Amino acid sequence: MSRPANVFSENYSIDFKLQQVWSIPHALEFFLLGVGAGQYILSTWFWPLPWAQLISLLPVLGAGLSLLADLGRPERLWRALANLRQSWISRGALSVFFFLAFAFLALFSRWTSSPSQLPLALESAATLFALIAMLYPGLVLSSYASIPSWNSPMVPLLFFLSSWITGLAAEWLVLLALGAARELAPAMALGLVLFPITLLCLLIHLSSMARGGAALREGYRLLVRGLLSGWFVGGAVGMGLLLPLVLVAVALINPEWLEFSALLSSLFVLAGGFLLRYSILKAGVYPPLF
Amino acid sequence: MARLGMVIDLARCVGCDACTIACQTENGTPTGIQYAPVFRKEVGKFPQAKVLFLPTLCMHCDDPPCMKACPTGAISKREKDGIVLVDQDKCCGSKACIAACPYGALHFYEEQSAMYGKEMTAPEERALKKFTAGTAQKCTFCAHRVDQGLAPACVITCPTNCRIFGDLDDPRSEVSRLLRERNSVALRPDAGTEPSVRYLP
Amino acid sequence: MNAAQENEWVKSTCYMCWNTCGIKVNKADGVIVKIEGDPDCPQNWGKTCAKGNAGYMSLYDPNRVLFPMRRTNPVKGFDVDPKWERISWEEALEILTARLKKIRAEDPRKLVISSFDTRGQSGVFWMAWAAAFGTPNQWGGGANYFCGNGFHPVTYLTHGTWFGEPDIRHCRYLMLFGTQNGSVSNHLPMDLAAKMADARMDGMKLIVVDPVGINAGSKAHEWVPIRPGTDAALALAMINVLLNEERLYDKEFLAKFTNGPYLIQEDGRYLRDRETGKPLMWDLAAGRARAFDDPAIGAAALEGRFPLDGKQIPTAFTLFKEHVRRHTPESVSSITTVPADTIRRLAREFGMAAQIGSTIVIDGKELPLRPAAASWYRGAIAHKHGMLTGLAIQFLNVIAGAIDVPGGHLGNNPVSRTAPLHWSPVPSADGLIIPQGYARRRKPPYPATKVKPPERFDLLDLCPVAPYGTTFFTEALLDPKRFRLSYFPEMLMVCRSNPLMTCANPDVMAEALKKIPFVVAFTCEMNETAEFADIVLPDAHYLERLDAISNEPTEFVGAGEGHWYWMVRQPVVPPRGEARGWVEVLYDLADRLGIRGDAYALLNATLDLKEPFAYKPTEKYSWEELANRWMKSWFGPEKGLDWFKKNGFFITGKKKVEEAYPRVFLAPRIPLYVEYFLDAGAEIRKVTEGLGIRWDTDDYQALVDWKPCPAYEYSVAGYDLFVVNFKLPFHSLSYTSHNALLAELSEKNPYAYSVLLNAQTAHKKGICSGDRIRLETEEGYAVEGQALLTECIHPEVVGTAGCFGRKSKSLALSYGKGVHFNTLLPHSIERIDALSAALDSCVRVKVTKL
Repeated sequence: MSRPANVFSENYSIDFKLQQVWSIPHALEFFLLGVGAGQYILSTWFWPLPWAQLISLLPVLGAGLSLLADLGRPERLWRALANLRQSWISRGALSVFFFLAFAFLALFSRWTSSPSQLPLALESAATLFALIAMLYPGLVLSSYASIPSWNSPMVPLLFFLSSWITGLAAEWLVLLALGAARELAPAMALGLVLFPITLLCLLIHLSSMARGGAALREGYRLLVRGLLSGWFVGGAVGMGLLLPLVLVAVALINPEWLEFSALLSSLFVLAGGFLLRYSILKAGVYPPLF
Repeated sequence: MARLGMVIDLARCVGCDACTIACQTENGTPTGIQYAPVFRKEVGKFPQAKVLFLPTLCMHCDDPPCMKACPTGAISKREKDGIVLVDQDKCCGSKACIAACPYGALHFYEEQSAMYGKEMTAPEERALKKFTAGTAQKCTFCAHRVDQGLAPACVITCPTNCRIFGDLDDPRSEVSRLLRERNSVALRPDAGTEPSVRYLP
Repeated sequence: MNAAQENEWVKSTCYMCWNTCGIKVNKADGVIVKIEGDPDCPQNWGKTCAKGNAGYMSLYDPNRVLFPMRRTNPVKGFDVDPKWERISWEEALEILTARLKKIRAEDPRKLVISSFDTRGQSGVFWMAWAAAFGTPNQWGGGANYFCGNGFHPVTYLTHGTWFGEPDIRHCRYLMLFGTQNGSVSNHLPMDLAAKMADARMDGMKLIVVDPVGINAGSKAHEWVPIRPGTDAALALAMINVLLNEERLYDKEFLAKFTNGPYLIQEDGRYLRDRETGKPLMWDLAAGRARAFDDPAIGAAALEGRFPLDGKQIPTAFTLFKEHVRRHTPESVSSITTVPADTIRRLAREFGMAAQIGSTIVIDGKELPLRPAAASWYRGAIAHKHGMLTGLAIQFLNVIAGAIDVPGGHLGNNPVSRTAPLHWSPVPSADGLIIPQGYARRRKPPYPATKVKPPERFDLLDLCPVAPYGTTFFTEALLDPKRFRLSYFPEMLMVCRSNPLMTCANPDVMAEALKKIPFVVAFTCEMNETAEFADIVLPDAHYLERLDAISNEPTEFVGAGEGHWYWMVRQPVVPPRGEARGWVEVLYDLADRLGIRGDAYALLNATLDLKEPFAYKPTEKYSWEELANRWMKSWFGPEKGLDWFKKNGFFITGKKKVEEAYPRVFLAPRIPLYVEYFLDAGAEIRKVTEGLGIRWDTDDYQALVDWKPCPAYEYSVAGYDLFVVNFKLPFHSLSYTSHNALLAELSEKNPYAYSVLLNAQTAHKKGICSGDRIRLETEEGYAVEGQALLTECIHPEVVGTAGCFGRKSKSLALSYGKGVHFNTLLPHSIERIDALSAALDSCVRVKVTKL
């Protein structure tokens, strides 16, 4: 028989069940969206460089492809805009659409040297929708009362912060690639602020899980001690936040390490960002029905 | 205008799985998809131990989380009787509904596969014509039977008569009477779904 | 959408277990798409279980046998490719005819038939065919090893019919010993499930005595975990408490309706009147002994000792009462692991609940009301000493006066006063119950059949009280010289039976089977037994089959209040491939063998067919016409096959109160003291000693006892746990495991494929849920499976469900899954209950983590 059609179908025991419909493709989609949106904003307003904006849109397109790959009927993707009234997925899909539309229009207007008001306005619009795009995956998850560990305002906040961090990491790579290494110091200094904030929010979220109902505690156990602890503690936290924090601090103290640290820690942060979303998705626990 | 619902008397259920199979055959669901599984849980310690049987199905919630989660608006709740249905012509297969349902009532139909592995049997071929691969599906309270004035397949087959079906808004219906006379519980009350299925412990 | 009432609905009878529920089957464009219960059929009132709902998926199984085949690989074994060669039906029939002719000419007893297809037109007709052919030899499967061995004879003795059930409608206190009545296993599952749920909700207390508490035990008010094979001890201790401590027993009932008052002489036999030979009772008023049926008798003494011939002669009841004293709650507590306090309490509760002396008015007649009953089945009686166990448990009902009265244990229809058939038990010369008419269809245990040197291969000639002798048949196959049989089987025809998998260790069963030179299997699925066949013939699925009168009033019509009804099984779709109903094929062969006329004559007698519908021996009728004539003969010219096909069943009447609760309307008595066993045992000893055969007759005793079964006594270090098999409500015997819908349930149900271990016991052994473990017996038989820790099993017991661990690859969805319990069972005479021919089904195992 093929894979169970939902996790409750696996067997008839009343127990915690782990959600299984959203896994790597969705984690990738959320991750790439965050990276792209975050880097777009940074590249547009902080470190405008030729090609930087375009580069940032590639992961966003990648996110779309990842989503398409996960849809049962990808040819009906356009229908996903239909339930704006109730579904965060619809709203998110629309935001991503507008983000990309405005971003490409802005690029086009810059390329065709339109009067500066227009590109700026378009970039502002794109930025607005990029911000929504950074928020919407977390809002999708938090809108589900079915899974207590998703059903928390901390989840959109965490995904939002992670989008900034991964966007920042991508920005470091862009700075390196486009020969703007002299901008690395302030770019990495931003990490010194964002990493601890993210860590703090993660710890708050974990602590409320650890002290919550049975399903929350089960999710906590999975993340911190169980099957997901490698990906989460080692990956999302250790590799994705702690290690880069150290690397960045060291690099800022010893500037000759700046480029090497930027390269290494950006890869760590990116991997960690993906693993954060992956872990949170996989640690989605349904409480026992009875 | 009615509000169809079900009362399941857990004291009566003996965990025989007749409902699960009756539903599968009535709806011709694809391999591996069961709209009405019966769950089990052991309670107590030897020798005061027993297995609790929990028949389930879609709760046809008054505030359906699947309907809110669905990006394509494929899920709707019938005005005339409250039955929640998936329109598989609109479903894009996002599986948001599956994640959003606290009861596991939604199922993703990935692709056709034969129950016996090698060849598709004649009943399967017939039944699967009405399902679109790559979409979600779920219990419909046997809407096709209800529309003919018949009770759902799980209800009629139950040997202990533990599933009682009727109009929750009609005070004279048996479901209403049972809910008045006996204590009842809903599953996952924390999820705020207001299910139309309640259980008599 | 598969809308109800679309297309065609055909009424028929289910055959996913043997309980003959009425179904209606939906066909759309010639394809079966749904099965539902027939809402009007009194057998099941519209309900069908998981199996019934799933039935048609076996019909469409792509692995199904669809054409005749011949084996070309002479080697037979598990996982040995038979190298089947397809042949035509004509070729197959020619081969069969040639062999059958030869056998018939030499010794027709060399033909053996093995089938659990024992009811309805197919069942009645193949037995007539076998009789016409001249062979009494029937082998069987698990159904004759573990099923009703210690039940049918007991209900025959105490009710006068083949089957029984508690009167759940009126019962307020029900004790189940080793059965899951009401939880969709065992008897009349749909009817009893509904009644049981209603009764429990209405306040009936359910006590389930069973080592496993997964299904029925979970619905009980009290689950009494018991050591396997000790149910008789519990029952006898309860009887002891009721008779000797609480003094709660129905004296009037015992005096009037049992042989309790019969006087017993020193040698244990009835004290008989010198002239008439009738057993004597003591007339208290007259102060003298009189024959039991003497109309002058006043009050007969139930208890006491009375002076006769210078001796103090006790009544049978006195001996019984004194005999049960040895089963004290304290001694029985250590035997059963049920605490002594519990035993006393259960006895007291049972006795109080029986409301001895109370009455109820039903249909204008005042009847005793005894709303307490004990019922039992496989778990208690699939043991050595199973007959004594069945008697012991039933005697709980007897001493409470709860036999064939409202609330108590009822026979499935010992009496019919409603057309078309009439029957009622009559008293034997000694005044005991003898079933009559239709109720006598099977082999009653009383009067004991004549003991003689075995001519039947199942040694039933040495088993005067057993219902069948399948276990002995296997023993005889394995070592025929032992029993001085003068011939050996040459050909086996098997249908709806799988002895290799439902009996004892398959290698042992295969060894027995391989001794029969030629095996013909009629089958839908290529099961393990069919893989050992020389010819395999495609059998019609039950949804492709016609069977007149598919149900049976002495088993499949509810006991107590209700209706008489007669059902039909009719083809919903034509047989797939080249499948044919196997008994139709037999009658084809009957033609070629020239025995058709004889078979018809036998059927006319068995079915009591009247002109103009009786079968003329010189005619050849189609299967349909045979059904049609039978039905018209019984029900009138208007109610032939066409009528039944349209209506599915015929209700011939509502049961009268003397049919529902016959006890007070009948004179024949219940043998509380099973005196005739003594002579039966003596006869057997005479014959077997004469032949030089060793045969155990210890259990042919007049007073019931609990005796330990082989596993109880046996305790080699390390082999400390009993392994038992328990039933799941969605499987039956061995032919449901590979049904796609039911196999899916097995995969998902945590209890189906696992080995159940008590959590504490498992912890002590360092075993966790999910560990792979090995169960090994002292003989070296072993199975491996996945452990599942549970609180719902006795700490000394390991449990496995159903018939799994399948060995035939054709059973694709269940091949190798789960655990095959029967692999662990050795086959030996020492493990067979001499009285009932049951094989002991518990054995000790060593459990190790792999």
